[in-house]
Amino acid sequence: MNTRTYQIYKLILFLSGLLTSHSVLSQEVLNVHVIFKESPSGTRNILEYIEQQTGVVVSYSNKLCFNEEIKSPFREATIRKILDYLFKDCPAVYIVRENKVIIKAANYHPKKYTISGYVTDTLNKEVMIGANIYDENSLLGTTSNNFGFYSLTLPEGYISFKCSYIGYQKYVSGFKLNKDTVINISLIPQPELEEVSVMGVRIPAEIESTSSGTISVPIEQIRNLPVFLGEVDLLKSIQMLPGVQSGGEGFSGLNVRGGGPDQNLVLLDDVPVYNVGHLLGVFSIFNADAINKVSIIKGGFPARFGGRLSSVVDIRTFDGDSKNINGSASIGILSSRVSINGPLIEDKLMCSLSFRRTYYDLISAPFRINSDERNRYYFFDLNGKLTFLMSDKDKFYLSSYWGEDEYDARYNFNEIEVYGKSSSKSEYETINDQRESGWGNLILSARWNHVFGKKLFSNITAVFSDYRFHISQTQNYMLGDKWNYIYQRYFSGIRDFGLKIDFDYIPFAKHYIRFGGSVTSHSFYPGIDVVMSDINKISPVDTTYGGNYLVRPEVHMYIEDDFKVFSRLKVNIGAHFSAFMAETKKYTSIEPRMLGRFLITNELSLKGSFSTMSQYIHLLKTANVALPTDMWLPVSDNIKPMRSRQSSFGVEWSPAKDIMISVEGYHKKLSDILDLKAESSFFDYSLNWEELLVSGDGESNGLEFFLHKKTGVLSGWFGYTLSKTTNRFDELNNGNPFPSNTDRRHDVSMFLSYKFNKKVDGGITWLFGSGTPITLPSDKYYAPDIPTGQYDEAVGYNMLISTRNGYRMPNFHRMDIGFNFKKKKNWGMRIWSAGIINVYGRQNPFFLYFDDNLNEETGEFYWSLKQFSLFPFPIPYVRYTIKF
Amino acid sequence: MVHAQLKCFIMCVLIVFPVMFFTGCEKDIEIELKDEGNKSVLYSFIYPDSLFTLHFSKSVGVLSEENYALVKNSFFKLYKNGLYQGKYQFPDDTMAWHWRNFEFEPGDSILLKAIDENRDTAIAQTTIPLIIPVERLDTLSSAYQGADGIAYNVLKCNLTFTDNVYTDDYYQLEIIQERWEVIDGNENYYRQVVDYIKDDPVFYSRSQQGTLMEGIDFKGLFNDELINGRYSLQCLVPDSYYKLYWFDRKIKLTFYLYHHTEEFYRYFRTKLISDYYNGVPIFEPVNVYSNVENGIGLVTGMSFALDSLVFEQEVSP
Repeated sequence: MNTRTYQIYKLILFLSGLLTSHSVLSQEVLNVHVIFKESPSGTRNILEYIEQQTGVVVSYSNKLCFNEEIKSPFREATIRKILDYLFKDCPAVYIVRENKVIIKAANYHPKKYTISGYVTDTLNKEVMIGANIYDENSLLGTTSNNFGFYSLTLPEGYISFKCSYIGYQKYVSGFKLNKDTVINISLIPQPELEEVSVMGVRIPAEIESTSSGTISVPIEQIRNLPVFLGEVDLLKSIQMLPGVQSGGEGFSGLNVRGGGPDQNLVLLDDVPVYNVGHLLGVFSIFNADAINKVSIIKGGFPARFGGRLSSVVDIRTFDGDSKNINGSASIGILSSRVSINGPLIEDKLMCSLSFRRTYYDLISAPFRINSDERNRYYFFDLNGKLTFLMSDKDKFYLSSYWGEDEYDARYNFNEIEVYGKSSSKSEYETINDQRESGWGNLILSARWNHVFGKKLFSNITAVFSDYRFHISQTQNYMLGDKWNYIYQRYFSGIRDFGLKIDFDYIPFAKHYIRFGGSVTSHSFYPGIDVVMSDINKISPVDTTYGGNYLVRPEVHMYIEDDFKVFSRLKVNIGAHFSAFMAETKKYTSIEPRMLGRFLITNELSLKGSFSTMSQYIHLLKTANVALPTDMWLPVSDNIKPMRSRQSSFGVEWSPAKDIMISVEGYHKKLSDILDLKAESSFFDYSLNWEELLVSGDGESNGLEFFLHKKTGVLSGWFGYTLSKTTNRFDELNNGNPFPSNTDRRHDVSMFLSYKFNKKVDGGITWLFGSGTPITLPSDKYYAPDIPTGQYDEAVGYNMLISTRNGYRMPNFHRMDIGFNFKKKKNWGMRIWSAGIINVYGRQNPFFLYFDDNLNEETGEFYWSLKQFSLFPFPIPYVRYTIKF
Repeated sequence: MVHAQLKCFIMCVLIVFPVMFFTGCEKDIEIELKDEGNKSVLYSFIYPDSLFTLHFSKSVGVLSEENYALVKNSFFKLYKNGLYQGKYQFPDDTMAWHWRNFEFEPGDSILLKAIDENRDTAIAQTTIPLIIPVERLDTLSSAYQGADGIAYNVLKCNLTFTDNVYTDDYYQLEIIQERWEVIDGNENYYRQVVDYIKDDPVFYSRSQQGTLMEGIDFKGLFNDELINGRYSLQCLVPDSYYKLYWFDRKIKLTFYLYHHTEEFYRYFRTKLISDYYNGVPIFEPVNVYSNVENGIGLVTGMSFALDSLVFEQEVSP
């Protein structure tokens, strides 16, 4: 044996001895006797007692089964015997390292059972969307879906079952899971002003989730925002989030990450809403009293969403209290609201109703009664919902929204003689001419939730959505010696009938699979004239002019899986398929969607996403501001669908309870987006509407910062966006890129809400936005009379526009402040809300224009550029609300 | 008016809300404008057998009270069908002048170079379209119920012409009413453009011809997209334009069928749209079309054919 071989032999002997001694030592440690002088209960406590009694260190895996009620039946036993007893239900292996026993779960596949049910609010029994449900031992968990349903599959054994939701006390239950179990969880709201743990979750929901570019704002925070004329406005609250801008000061339009207002899918209980503004968009149509939850997705679209390029605004209304009747009523400067909800049959059939109406027309009616021309304007909203709990597995919902804006003017009042119907005596009747215009949505949906087994949740929705704009006119005139009338009406709009089916399948705690599809039949009404004339008020003659409506089907299908690859990496991978039938062409799209989250720590995660989207309908805009005359139109054989590709990457950090900080960058490419041709106009009826449009590309890049504190004495958020959006159309701006109308370099929003005590809270907002692009001319030049025809209205000069959007409006900033004074009463609570909009009277530009001015010193006229501001000085508001 | 209706609709709904009405305000604003100006502006509408008229001026900055600036020490060169016609001084004290020493015919191509005092040259070229003859003019008295529900007595006119199927052609139908009346022995003459009912599909493609959401009136301008060869163009003349009253001696309706260039078609359309939006700043401004290189304006040829109808008072025997 040479020296080298001898050394190897010695090494083998040493290692063998080491292993043998280890084995011997193992036996010794596990055979150490433990004498129970006390009776500790619970697995963890018994293991701790062993450590104290023997000096042996015991470490264990969280994957073991723990029983908080178990007690040792022995007075004296070896460590092995005690461990065997403690882990009899879930086999474990014991590894001894010197004086340490490591207990690991044996490599076996325990039976799995499913816990499922609904999460509701204890007080009003409303479902809670997005509640966090998890087992603290295994760290496996899920969230409740849009109907409050959850399903969590866990290995059998003892679990520490918890449910948490921001602003609510945590639900905790420890039990042995040995069969499929239904647990309907009722969460209790956290008392106001109490700064206790509201997270308590090992990983906050936002950090844990794969979703990126998604923000949900608690409806209570939205209600506390200071608002114009005291009208709580959902969309204006969303405008204050990073990456979202308004369509103009005081307007409810949304421009998300450089996208246009028609690129947002606004869903009210799963039904698309086509017009979201009252009074030309000054107020949004959503009555906050009816809203349960609102969230916006700006990027990182899961596969279940499709049909728009830039955002999804998901609004869910209240189901109705299943136990008690409650409600609220509110009087403000502009409108009054009333809402009521409660059981029609306790725990079976619930109803929720909300109504809002402006009353300027009613208040001013007495002053107009003798006027020659009587104008009035009003708008209203009516939300209704019926929820029927058919069984533990079935729920049925009927939802509706009806809202309209109406303006009318009555004039040319005449008292005419008519012959009485029942006698031959003459009677007198006042007739008048009338002009009307208005617009509104009617939305209906019927939904049926059914739970198949414990793991498959289904939601079938039948949808009807109708948006109409109309102008009408009634004129009375004398023909011979008799009065006749002519009624004319023009209308445009879009009407959808749809059927949608969605499935949530949760096979294991690590997977959340969603799949489904929808079919929609769109009917587009690109302008129809109806004329009805009544000859001698006897025989109405109805005539409809042109305006063939277009029927176009749209189909969507999707599948996605939100799953944990390993404990720190979670992804959501899916695909969305859509198809749209134009006149003869069929457009299809397969859109991959990928979202990923990597946990660096339990409070810090990295998130990334990639999504492609297609849009088959678009808004033919009348002007630069949203007007109800804007028309929804489909893609055609000549107009391709608009498409987008967006990728984002960000960091989310929760440095403290209920505080979330996120930084996200995005890159968005838009293709085949549409704009009006340089030489066309909405009012150019000599061309088909397809010929008015030109398609091009766009690009938006941005970085968003968001700090959000959702609850507590001091809550609110701070958002900042740095972005750049450019468009390029071959036929616009000489083919050169130009800033998009939605381009805004810097955007800052801040909201702080402070609860002074149980009776008083206040909020302050401050908004800043750098100027948006505007097109202004560079030259003025002579325009001669046209030699053919008489063109009296001709302007004697033309303006030359060298660059599209070559200028910027002045910066925008504004501060609003508001307070709520609450007082509890026997019947409930009353709240006085008061505040000031535009506290320091900033004159923000609404639009710019050129105008003549007179220099009073020289008497000469000169041209200057002027700005028009809508709300140039502080505007106070006050509102009185009762809750019962 | 259409424009007024649109403005009325928007402003009515905006203004009906009293807070908005009382709170809105305006103020001068300072934005550093690229106040450019000094671009050569050329206009010429060239008919066969008529005077050659040229407008030559300079653009001004947008804040200028004037609409143009005169050119000095400037001249132009003219080429007809590729042949140089000469160099002509442009007068310093006017923006438009006539020259009698040119004769043009349908089909002529014209190139115009205008040179300013800095020797910057603006160039424009055009071709005088061929005359498209009016082959027939048929009329029929009829009643018409407009989209406003009101019934009119009208003269249904069918004007037949043949379009060249191989070229893109642009037209305009204009009807002129001339009226001779005698009141108290005094004879008066009136001339006006007839606002006829554009009932033919060539005048509109979208079916929004209603009265409540009227579109822009393009003054009888149309293209040949819907025309393929011989075409009978229909228009309706309200009876107010041809009905003879006791004092009317004669009414003459002259139908002008203009044959335009694409440049004129685009210029006129954009001019009408631009003017339609003038004063309503919520619309994206529209650039008026120009066919002048290194300048702005329109140099175009045009031709026309005509036919007429005469209505005379029957003289009592």
